[in-house]
Amino acid sequence: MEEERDPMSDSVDNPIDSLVDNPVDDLVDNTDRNFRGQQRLETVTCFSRKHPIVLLRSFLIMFGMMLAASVGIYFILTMETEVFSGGLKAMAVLFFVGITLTHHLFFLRMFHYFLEIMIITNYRVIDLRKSVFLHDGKEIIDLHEIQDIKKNQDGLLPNLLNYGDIKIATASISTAMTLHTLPRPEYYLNQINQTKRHYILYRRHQKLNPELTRPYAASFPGTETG
Amino acid sequence: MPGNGAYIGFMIVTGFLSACFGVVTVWRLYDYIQAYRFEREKYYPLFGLIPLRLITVIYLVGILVIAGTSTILFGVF
Repeated sequence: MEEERDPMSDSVDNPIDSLVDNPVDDLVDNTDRNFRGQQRLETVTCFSRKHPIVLLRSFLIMFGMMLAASVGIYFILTMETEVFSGGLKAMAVLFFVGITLTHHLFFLRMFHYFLEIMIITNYRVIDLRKSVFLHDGKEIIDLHEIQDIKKNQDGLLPNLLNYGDIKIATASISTAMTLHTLPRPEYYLNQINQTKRHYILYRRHQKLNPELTRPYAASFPGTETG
Repeated sequence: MPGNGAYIGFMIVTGFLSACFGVVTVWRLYDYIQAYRFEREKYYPLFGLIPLRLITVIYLVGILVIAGTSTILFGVF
């Protein structure tokens, strides 16, 4: 599904080298290139949807309800009654309405899966919580605000299927961000760490030599994963 | 008790509303995902192999099948 890449192999020998003596004019304007709100010099390091395990519950509910409704309709239609009575018809209508609702809810959950993504850029970590009708949330943490990153992968299924949570803590307790049910959490933990390290190096260098340092763009080639 | 025509009418209205909802859902979905211009080969497939277009087609065809089946069944019985 996703292109495997060793996070540690991204490191540039000396990231500072790529930050100096490059004219600003050479930089590509990335405004709104990959997502709405993307800044001019912001590049996407990677992105991820949640692990497909989040669809399992919806799938089981959908399968169970569809099966129950279909069996109900089958029994109503094969009953040994001469007249397809009003009560049975009302029941069949209910079963069909149930099937219709289940069908919509299952696919809405699946579309929700496509819209809920996490993006790591060279400036920030973005957690988009969007659904087709009900939710439209966005949580952003700038890389320089990150103080601590924790990976949480407890339980049999998370370890077996390799998914888990990443908790990003900032200096302020109120702005912690938790990225739930991410596939390959170790990979994304390393990505955030590495991007943060490059960003801090850049800021440090900018303070020392403001006239030499060009505006910050990613010092390593970005990759996009789904 | 309502007559058979009432049940058929109810199923037709339900199917019509369901189809309208499906169209609006797909329209909004594509409107949203066009805001994320990531690499198509990596963003669009589910589990890396089922394209989003196929999922939306299955969704819309499913709505039509359910609506059609229910109406036809009430028409026959």
